[in-house]
Amino acid sequence: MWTLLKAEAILSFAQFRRYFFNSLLSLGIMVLFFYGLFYGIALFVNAPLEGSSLSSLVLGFVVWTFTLGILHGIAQDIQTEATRGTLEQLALGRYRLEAILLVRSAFTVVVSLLMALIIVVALQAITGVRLHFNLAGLPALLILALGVAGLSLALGALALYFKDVSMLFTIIQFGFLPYILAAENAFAGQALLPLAPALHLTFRSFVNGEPVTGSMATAALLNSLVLFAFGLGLFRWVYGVVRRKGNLSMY
Amino acid sequence: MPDYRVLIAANIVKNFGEKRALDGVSLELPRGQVVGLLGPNGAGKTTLIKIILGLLLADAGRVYLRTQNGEAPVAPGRIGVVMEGSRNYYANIPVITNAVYFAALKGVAAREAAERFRRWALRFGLEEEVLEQPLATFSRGMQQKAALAISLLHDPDFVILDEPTLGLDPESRLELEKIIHGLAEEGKGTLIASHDLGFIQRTADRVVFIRAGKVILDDATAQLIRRYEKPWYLVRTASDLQEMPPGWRESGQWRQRDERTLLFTGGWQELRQYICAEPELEVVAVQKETASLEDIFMEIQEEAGNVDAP
Repeated sequence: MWTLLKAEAILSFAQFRRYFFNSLLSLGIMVLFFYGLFYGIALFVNAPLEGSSLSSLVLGFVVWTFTLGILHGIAQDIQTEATRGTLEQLALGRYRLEAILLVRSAFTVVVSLLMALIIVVALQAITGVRLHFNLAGLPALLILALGVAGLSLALGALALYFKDVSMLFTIIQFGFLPYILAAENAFAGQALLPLAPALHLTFRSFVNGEPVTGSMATAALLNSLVLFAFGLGLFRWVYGVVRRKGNLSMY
Repeated sequence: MPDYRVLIAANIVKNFGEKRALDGVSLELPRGQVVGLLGPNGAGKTTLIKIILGLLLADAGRVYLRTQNGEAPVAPGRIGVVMEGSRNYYANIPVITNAVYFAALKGVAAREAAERFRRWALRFGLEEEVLEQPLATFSRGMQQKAALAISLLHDPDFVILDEPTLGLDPESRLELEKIIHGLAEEGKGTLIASHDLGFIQRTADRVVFIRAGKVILDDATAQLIRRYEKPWYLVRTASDLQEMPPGWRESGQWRQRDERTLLFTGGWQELRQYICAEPELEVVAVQKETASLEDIFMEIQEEAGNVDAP
């Protein structure tokens, strides 16, 4: 597995270096996007954003970047690989296809988090507000990542079968931000919604410093586990279907 | 004791909806041999290859290894593959990065993969300075060599090449022939699916013809050529021939290849009789021609077509 991790790092770096300008540009666009969001919300509530509400907004934005990173790492990559014609070569290795995609998404997440960190630093400089995050919330983020990976595998399964699901990506990309932000305050009755308890837990742990324990943590873990098991099961089933149909790489 | 292994596809059946793509196809690929897989478009060559690789699941039949100790499952990671076209690897990043990445997927460490790739690249005539360039900047021949080199980095026992000569110039094709002979000498079993019959004739120890999802012939190349060899003669005339002498075409032994060349199938004495009976015909040369794989392929196609006809 170490060989695979190293290989994905080499590939990620090669792709990043090849499209360096675009990577920098996307970073700038993310800062601008958040800046617009920040002032848009302040204008809407007719009050300056500060303190915990600003921390929540920034965390929401970081979590959004994080989840999209995983989604792109698995679901969209399948589409891209199928278009390039390299998906079959990936499937010919000694590792399961989903393992390769999960490792790849981990690197996308690392890159996304690094970019989010740069964005946070840039935002602090722009808004002049100091943010305080409690790093004790990292386990909550891992629980969230597990659930998002499951969702990504499910979307990846759809991409394997239907080949082009870019419209679905677009909907998720924009629908996810309000979903993430809404999950901060509402938890009761939402434990069954995908990712909702993990998102709620992440906010409470990072912003309020609450420990990742108790019924909320159990609900979040169960929710993410179910989502991951569903995603993995669906992916393996669809992988079998496309191998029977013979359209693994037919874009 | 030699490590005797044979890759076997046995009684493979594959349907795509109502259409039967493969109908009980069997194929054996021993180590150290080159097997040519021939057939017209849509015969089922690529389908069979994908089933051998596990990219496609068969409806019936199985793929396994026969070893000295009995049967063993085929790990796709033990096979080197170059699929049809130039879409095997990432065209936008350096070829050496592709090599390291795809070798890692087969379990080869980065440093080892880079070293092995340099060795293969050198052997295939790819210079050191091009290894840092993206694959997209390579010519078709260089891409094919690079793809083949990458497919060999995990030291596979078997190599499968789907249409390896597609888009290659004659010089690159000749180089590829040498490489394939070299692989066989190293003990690798190589399966080549191709329409390039001349290439297959020069490289393959054995040929398997597939037509409409069925194996219609499986034989050693040399034996096949001997078996199908007929006393064919090329008869060249001094001037353009508007039409053949009376009775020649009807005999079924004569065919006109071009304005000044006739093809005769039959014995030498018989040919002499035909020519002597036509003093008007100014023959300048008679040359014996052996059967090529292309001739055999066309003949088999015709025979199979006749069999299939209602």
